[in-house]
Amino acid sequence: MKDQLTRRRMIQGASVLGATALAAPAIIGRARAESRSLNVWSYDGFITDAFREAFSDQTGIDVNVRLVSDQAEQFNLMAAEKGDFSADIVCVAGHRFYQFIDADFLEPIDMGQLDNWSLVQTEFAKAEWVSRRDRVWGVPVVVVSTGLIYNTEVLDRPTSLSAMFDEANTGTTSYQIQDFFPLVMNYLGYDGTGSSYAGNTDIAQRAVDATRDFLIEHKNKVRRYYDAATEVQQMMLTGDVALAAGSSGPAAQLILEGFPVGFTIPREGGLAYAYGFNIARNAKNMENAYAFLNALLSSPENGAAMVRSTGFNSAMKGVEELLTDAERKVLSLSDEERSHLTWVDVETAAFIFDLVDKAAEEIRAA
Amino acid sequence: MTRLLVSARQFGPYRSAVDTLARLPALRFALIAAIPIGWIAVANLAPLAQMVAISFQDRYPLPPGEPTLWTLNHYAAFFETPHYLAAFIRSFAFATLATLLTLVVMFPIAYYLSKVAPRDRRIRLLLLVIAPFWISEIVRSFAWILMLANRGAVNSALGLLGIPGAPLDLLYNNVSLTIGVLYLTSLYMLLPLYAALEKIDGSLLEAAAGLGASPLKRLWRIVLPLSRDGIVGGCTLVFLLVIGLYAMPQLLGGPDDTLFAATIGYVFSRAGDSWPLGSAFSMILIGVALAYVGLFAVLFRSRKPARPT
Repeated sequence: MKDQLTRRRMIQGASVLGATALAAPAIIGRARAESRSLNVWSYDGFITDAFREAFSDQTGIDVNVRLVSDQAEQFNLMAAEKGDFSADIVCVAGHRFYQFIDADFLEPIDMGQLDNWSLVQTEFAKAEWVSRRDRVWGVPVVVVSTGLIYNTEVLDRPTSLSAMFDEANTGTTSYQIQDFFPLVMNYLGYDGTGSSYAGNTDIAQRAVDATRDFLIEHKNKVRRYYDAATEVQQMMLTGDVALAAGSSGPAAQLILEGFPVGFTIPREGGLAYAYGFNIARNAKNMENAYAFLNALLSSPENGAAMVRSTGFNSAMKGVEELLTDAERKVLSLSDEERSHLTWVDVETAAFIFDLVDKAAEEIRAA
Repeated sequence: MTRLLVSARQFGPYRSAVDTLARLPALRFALIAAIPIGWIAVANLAPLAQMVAISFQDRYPLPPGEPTLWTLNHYAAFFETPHYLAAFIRSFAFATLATLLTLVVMFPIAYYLSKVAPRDRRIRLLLLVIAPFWISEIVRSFAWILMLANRGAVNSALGLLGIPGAPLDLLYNNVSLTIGVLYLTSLYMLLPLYAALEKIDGSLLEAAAGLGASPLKRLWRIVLPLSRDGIVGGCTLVFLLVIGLYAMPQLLGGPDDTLFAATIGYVFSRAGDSWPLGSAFSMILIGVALAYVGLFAVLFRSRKPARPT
């Protein structure tokens, strides 16, 4: 009985299967590391299909994009992966930048491997949300300003944040709590950047608590809190919301598509920050990551495409010349509005956002 | 099949394995139970056990080299913050109300399907009711958004009809959330009810009617007592589903409708070491929800008929 299944054969077969199963993660992991692929976590629109296809055609590297909706989501995913990151490139906002570096999630950029750094606008190339400890930690791609988005058929241009708390706008406003919170702190006379509270948690906590209580008191003005930019666009289109606090990108997209929407920076101030692409610590496809960043910085056309798909201003030189008059008009702010913008203080951002995150949960729960 | 089994007995290892199993019923039971028990242990209990452990840790994930410190602070935070307690109570009140509403709406439908509809059409009608559940919860939520938005189908129809006050605020409040939840949970109520009602002997109802019992009396004295197991089962399923709802309240609810499950989600998604707090909140929710449902089951379980003395 040549083909009879003996106990010895069965044990041998089982051993081979077991060994293969145990070795599988290592084999797959190595294959992934040596693959012609690149894993990127990014916001919607930051990597256009055209760029991704052109990059794959030229380099043979497939770009796998996992869309993320906020910084905390990325941070927690990376924390869960405990250093063995599945992403090669992540998309970090300036105001969360130090949090990611201090958690040891990012790899400093080896400037020797980056060919076209000179294409980054000079003021951003040296910004404090790009470099830390004398190292560069990412490539800035878009610049965001936060202010008020409004339906021009329902409201005149609001000049003050007080419109968000006006009884006339009851049940018609919307905001992303964490992004709106610093603006409301400024509105109430506190320091939304948190820079003046550095090292003094008690005073910062009192300011955050007072702002939290104010927002709870005015909860009846809110139709819905949103998380992703697309949600505020959707609520504007369905007519459920007439006034929202938000960033310039979603508003610009709606305006360019012909919807009756405006964007303004209120006199109490708006915040500006940038998003960048950063390489994850010990990225499995390090070479591919540099190839991607070099390709991105190879032409201002890539920056212009990103502006069109996100509605945000570009951090690259030469992009403005490539935009149409209509696009330039929508993306530009008046001198007065520009004077109301302040850059997020990256040194204290993590400190103040820790307090704001908790307050945001309480506002939702209240 | 028999021939295959007979041929299989030619092989020594198979024969001895079968003989051993035939001799030892405990081993037989252990082998059969191993797969489901293993699955429950790995897929359900292991993550819960890990979450219990995390809920007592001072920080998680821990930076490399730092020792684990154990604490009850995260459980205390729940009782110290009134806003969390408010969302918790709101969740239980909403889940109870949604469960009762689902029962009231689905009972007549289950009764119709099991007792009134012609027997040859029951499966087709049941499939008709089940059909929307082949689509995901998210897609169905977006369908409701399109229906209930200010420029949605319902408000457009109200506008065309000249209803004063249109558009009405139908979306992002407890009206839209209740409609969405009712739609989501109806199947979980329907199936246990249908199974219980179908078992009721039709001759009991006929006899009661023959003896002059009104329809209401037949419902109260025969149908409801005999379908109690289905009611308890359906209510338990729906309640536990609603108390843990996350996506639908996010999509259809308003600022005053945040349920505790969403609060837990926000805690977990906070950048930093907030996992212990989220885990502690999860344990509190699971513990209290199970106790609540357990109490309900004890109060409403079928009572065995008393033995004749």
